[in-house]
Amino acid sequence: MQALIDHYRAELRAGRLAFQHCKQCGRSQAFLRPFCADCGSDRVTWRIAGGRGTVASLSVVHRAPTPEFRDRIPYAILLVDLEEGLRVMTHGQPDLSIGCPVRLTTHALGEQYLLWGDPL
Amino acid sequence: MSRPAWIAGVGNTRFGRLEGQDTLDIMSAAAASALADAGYGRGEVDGLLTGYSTSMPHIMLATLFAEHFGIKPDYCHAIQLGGATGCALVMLAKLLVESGQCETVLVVAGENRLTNPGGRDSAIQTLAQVGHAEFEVPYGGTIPAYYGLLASAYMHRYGLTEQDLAEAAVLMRTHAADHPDAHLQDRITVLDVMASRAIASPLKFLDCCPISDGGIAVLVTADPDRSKGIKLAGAGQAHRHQHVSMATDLSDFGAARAARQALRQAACDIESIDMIGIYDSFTITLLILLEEIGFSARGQSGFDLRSGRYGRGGRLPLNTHGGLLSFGHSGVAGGMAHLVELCRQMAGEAESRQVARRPGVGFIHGDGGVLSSHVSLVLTQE
Repeated sequence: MQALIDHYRAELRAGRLAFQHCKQCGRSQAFLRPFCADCGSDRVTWRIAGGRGTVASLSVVHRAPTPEFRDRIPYAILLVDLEEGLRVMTHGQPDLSIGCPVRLTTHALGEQYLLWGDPL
Repeated sequence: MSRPAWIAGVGNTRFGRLEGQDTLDIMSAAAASALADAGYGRGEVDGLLTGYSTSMPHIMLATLFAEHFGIKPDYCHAIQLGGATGCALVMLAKLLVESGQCETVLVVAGENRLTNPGGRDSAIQTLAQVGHAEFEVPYGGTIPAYYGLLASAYMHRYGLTEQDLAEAAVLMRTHAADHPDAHLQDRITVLDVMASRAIASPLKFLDCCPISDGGIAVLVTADPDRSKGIKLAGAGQAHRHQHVSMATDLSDFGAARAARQALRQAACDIESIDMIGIYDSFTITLLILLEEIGFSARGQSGFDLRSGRYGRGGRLPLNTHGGLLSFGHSGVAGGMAHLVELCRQMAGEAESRQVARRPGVGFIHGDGGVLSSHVSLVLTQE
């Protein structure tokens, strides 16, 4: 798993959202595994998402889980359905609405790179 | 071998602040209460099941408790299924008795989640790790935020409003006011819920259950003559996802699947149910479960709450002890309190909360994770 995570993170640092696609059954997955969760095949390959999607849900957080996030209150967490057919969690502006088309970019939070959704 | 499993006894501690009591104290008190209710001695228990304690993590909590309490069971271990653990423990006890593996199973859970050193923030931080380590936790997700995401999407699709959610909080508080052991009893109104401070939109403070200390125990027996005459008639489970990012089907979280299994096993249909106990970690949890299982039509649970369907005098009394939202939530035990209340109602022992016509068929549902794991139980009065 660590190799997969490292690859994903490296791509994100370079501004690309990498995801896995199964050559056996054609399904894609956002959560990383060395196999396809749908058919079990190990013929999973990397693809890069185009970055376009639709807001499936949004919640603005007012009570943070850690001291690090306390400084960022309030912040919005989004679930975005990408054109490629998978769902990812991102940050974004708190005033987005469900159904809004967005384009994903990356932003840095401390050492970590995360996804951000901007309205199209 | 196959024979039915029966409820012999139930017990609970007060829920709320239990200063100076730890996990073992609270579990012991609940267990002693259930044994006394059942009229059984410790030495008669041959199976012991428990869950986990976030305030006293231990890799062998069941045997630890057995040693502390003074039991040497033939069958004994802990299980973990998040909020559904309580119901899953009772389902396992049912299976152990039905199969002949055990005669008398003590199911017990409890912890001092509120008053343990480190307290509530530590519990919140621990629970926040429930999100996906790489794809959710780094976004500052919390359990209320994951439920907030579910709520936003579900309300958008099915037309529920924040006022609908608030009705659930008000009803739970109304019910808790008549339970002497409930954590929160001060009356609240829909306006109070709407004005309560934002936690993770659309969920506000009063849409969320409290963090409480408390313990619950249930004794399950093979002997109907030493029982309350309450049979564990059916049980079912379903597990469709773990993380909120993977809960993409708003119409099928798994609750209805688990319910159908339990009802089929009990040879009951949904119309025969007289009383329900439904997991209510948040108001939205309760409404989604009511609608998916089919107690309310989609988008109608708020209307049903407002019209009294789920009150003590209604067609389908719901969580008459006040639910997680007001009776309290101490972890695994919180998810067993609904069953204890149902059993008391069925046995005519619910004191000032007693419904006029004792329920003949009851339904319990537990949910773990983010509507991730589901356990349904059907109980019948014989």
